Amino acid sequence: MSERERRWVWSGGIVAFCLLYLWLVLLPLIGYHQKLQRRIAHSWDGLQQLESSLGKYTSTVLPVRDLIRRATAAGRKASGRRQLETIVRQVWKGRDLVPSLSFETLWEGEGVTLKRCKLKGKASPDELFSLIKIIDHRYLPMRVARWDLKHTSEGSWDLDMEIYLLEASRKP
Amino acid sequence: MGNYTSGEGIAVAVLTGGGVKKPLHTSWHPSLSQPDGTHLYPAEELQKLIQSLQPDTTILFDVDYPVAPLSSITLPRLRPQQVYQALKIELESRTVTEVMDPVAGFCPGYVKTKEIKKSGLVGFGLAIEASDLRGLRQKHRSLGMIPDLVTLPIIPLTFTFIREVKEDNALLYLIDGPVVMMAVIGEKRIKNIEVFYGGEEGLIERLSGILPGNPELKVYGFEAGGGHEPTTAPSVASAALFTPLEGGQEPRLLAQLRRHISRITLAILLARLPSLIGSIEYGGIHAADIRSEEQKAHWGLQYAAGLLILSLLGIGTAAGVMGHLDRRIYQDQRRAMKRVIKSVLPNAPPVAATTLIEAKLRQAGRLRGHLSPMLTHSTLELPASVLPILDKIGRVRVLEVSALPDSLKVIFESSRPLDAGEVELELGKVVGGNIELMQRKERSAHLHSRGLIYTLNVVKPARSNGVARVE
Repeated sequence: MSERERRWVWSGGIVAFCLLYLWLVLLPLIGYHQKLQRRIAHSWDGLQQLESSLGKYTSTVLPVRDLIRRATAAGRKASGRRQLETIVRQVWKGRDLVPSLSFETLWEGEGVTLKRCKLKGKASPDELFSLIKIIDHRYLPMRVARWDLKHTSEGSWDLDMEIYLLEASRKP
Repeated sequence: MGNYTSGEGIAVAVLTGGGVKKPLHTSWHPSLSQPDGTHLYPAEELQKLIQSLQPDTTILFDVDYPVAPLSSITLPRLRPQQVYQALKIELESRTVTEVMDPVAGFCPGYVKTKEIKKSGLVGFGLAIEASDLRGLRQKHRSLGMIPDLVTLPIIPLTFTFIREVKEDNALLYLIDGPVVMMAVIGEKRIKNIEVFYGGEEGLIERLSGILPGNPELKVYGFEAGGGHEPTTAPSVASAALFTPLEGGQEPRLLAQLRRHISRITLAILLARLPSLIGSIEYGGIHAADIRSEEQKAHWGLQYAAGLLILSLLGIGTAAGVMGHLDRRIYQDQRRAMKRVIKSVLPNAPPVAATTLIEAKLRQAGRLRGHLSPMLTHSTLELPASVLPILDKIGRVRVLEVSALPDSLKVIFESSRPLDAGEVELELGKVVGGNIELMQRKERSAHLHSRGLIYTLNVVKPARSNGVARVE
C-alpha cells in the first residue's frame, strides 16, 4: 500500500472514528444529559411545589389537628361546658355573685361541636385576667373571643365576655 | 535511487533510508548499440524498476554521455518536491556539453523557479563560460528553471572522500572515457572542480600544472568501468576506495596508476548524494529538509487529528461526568422529596403525596373556616401592652376596656389634659398599628367622673391566623 493510500486510509479511519464516536457515544451522552436536566428541572419544580404545600399543610392543618386533639383529650375527662363552669367557680371562689353562663351551639362537625359561651357578671380586673389565662391555656380547647369590662358607679366592674369552646363527642 | 549512465549501459543502485546502509538493489543494464553508432537504453526494464519504487524515493540521474531520449520512461506518481529533486540532480549532474543538449523529453516542465532557487549546490567553484551559462539559462527559461551550477559524478565521490577519509590537501580525478573530472580538496572543502576532455594525456598535462606547487598533495585516481560491469563487484568501503597513489609527484605515473571503480559503485555513491550534500557545512540543503517540511505538514495534520480526537474524548468524558452528576442530583432530589413527605405523611405513597396533601389541605381548610374563632390571638395581648403605658402617664383611671384579639378600646379619665400626639407616639413605639386618642366632648356616662374623659382605640393590622397562646 502506497503512502498516499495509507494516508487516505488513516484520514478515512479518523473521520469514521469521529463520526462513530459522535453517533455512538457523544450524541447519546449529550441526549442523556439533556434528558436528566429536564428531569432535574421538573423534579425541582415538584420539590418546590411540595415544599409550598407542606408549608401550607403545616400552618393550616397542624393547629386544627392540635385543637381537635386537645378537645378529644379534654373531653375524656369532662365536657367543655362542665370544665368552663368549674373554672368560673374556681376563679370566683368564696364570692356570692357568680357570673351567669349561657351556651349556644355554633357549628357541629364530624365528632366535634363548636359552642359559644356568654359570660356576664361582676368581676375585678384581676379575676378577669386570671380567667383569661386559664381559659386560653394551651391544654384546653377554649378561647376568649371578646370581653368588655366597665366600671360602674358603685365602684364595681361589669364583665361581659364571649368564650368559644370546642367539644369532642364522647365515644361510647 | 542512483543511475550512472555511460555508453556501455546504465548502473542502477537503490538505497533505503539515509543511504548509509547496504544497497537495497544494484543492477547493470547494458545499452543496445544502434547501426548509427548511438546507444539505446533498455527503457522497459528501467521503467519497471522505477515503477516498483516507493513514491518518496529520490531519483538521481547521472548522464555523462549523450544518450538516446528516455521518453518511454514515465515516473511514478511523485510529489512535485520529489520530481524537483530528481530534476535538479539530473540537470546539475551533466557535463557542460551535455547540459547544453539536455534530454528535454525527461523534463515535465512544471517545476517552479522559486524551488529551483533553493539549489544547495551553489558555490563549489565550477567554472562555466559566461556564454554557456547564458545559453543554458535561455534554454531552460521556458521550463521555468535556472541551472546555476553543473554537478558531476566527481561530486559524490569527493563528498564521500571528505566524509570518510577526512584528509586535507588531496586531489581526486575520475576518468570516464574522454571526460576527465578533477577535484582539489583543502580544509575539508572542495576548493576547485575541473572538467575537461582529453583522457589520460589531458590529465597528465593538467597534473603537471598543479603538482609542482603542492608537494603535500596526495592524489587519488579512478577510472570508471573497467570491463563488463556485472563482473565488477561494487565496492564502497572507504579503505578500498580511497588509497593514495604511490607515484610521488610524477604526473604520468599518477595518471597510469589509477584504480578502476565500477559504475555501480558510482551509482551507489550518487544515490548517497542527498545525504552527503545534506551537511550544512558544505553549503547544501539537507536532503531531509524537503522531507521534513512535508513531514511537518504531515505531523501538523496528525497533531490536528490527535487534537480533534482528544477534544472529542474530552467532550465525551465531560458529558459522561455531567450525566453522572445529573443522575446523582436527580436521585438526591428524589430522596429528599421522599424524606420530606415521610416526615409529614409517613404512610403516604411518594407519587401521590402532593395530591394527598392537597386533598388534606382542602379538608383542613374547611374545618379551619369553622374553627377560626378558636385560632385567634389572645385577647390579653393588647391590654397587656397598652394598660401599663397608660398607667405610666399618671393620674389616669380606667373606666372601660373592650378587647378583641386585634383591637382594643379603652375609656379612661385623666386629671390633667393629655397631648394626644405624645401618647399616640409613646404607644406606637410599643404596640404599633393604628392608635387614636380622642377626648370626649359630650358628658361622660360615668357621672361620678370629674376629670377629662379620653377614648383610646388601638387596632393592630391583621396577622396570620396562627396560634398564639398565653401560657
